[in-house]
Amino acid sequence: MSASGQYMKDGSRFKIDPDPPIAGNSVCVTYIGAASEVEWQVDGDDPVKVKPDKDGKFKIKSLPSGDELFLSDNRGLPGYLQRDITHLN
Amino acid sequence: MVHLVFGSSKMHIGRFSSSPSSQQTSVSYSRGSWSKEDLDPSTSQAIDRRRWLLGAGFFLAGAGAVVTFGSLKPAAASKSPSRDKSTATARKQEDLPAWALEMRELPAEELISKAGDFERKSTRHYGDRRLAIGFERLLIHALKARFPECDLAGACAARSLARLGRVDLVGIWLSEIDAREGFLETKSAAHKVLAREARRRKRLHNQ
Repeated sequence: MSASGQYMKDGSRFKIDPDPPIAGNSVCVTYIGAASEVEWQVDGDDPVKVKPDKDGKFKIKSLPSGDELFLSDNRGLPGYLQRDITHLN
Repeated sequence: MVHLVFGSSKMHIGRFSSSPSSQQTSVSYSRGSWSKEDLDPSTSQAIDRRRWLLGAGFFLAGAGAVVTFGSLKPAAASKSPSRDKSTATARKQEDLPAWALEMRELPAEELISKAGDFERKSTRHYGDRRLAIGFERLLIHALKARFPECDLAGACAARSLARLGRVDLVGIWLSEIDAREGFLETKSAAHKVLAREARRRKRLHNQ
């Protein structure tokens, strides 16, 4: 990851840890971009708006059970990330 | 001569003759031997009046039927499965969400830029094949776009098409791009979609 660049290596402005995310566990998100507010969403649920800290990081404390996690800054395709959610049991 | 009396008017319907030589009363009837001239003027006028009234009656009955059945037709058609296809298509388009209609008209660059937003919106419409047209368009334009947008947009479209019940299109798309370099995200998404579909089919087969 290059914090000084506009995008991550894969062309997205988001990076998550762990990748893929695990249902019920916390997820650390890093955002590199100009938006002061971003949002995350699980499946068709309502999006949750979050303000990343000065390092562009925020945490989803307990990822809800679902199939997919979406992250977006609503500023085009590079500010968008989709990941399948892993279920351990 | 025999006259039939209808109300106030008389009507001559034929000629009867008797033979006095045989002292028997034999009656013969010659059909079709009468003409309008045989009728007295009042009877002729009465027939003309009757014909006019009959014609007017048929006309009014026909007009009434047209009005009645014309007004019933749309109600009957809406219940019938064989309703007009164009009407059905127009009605279906009215039911589509605004973003799905937007996807059909947006310029290619903007469509690709908003691919992620459209994908998120598709998560609320599982199995709704009517929404797939916009994502088909997205796939086509993604092929022509620059990296990394082409790959990310292609992946969004592939996942969305699978969500909307068009896994078949994802398979066709994958066979198109499998030999090409790049498109790693799209290929990965398409392979996942097809693997998931294969598992689902296997599960259904085992049940």
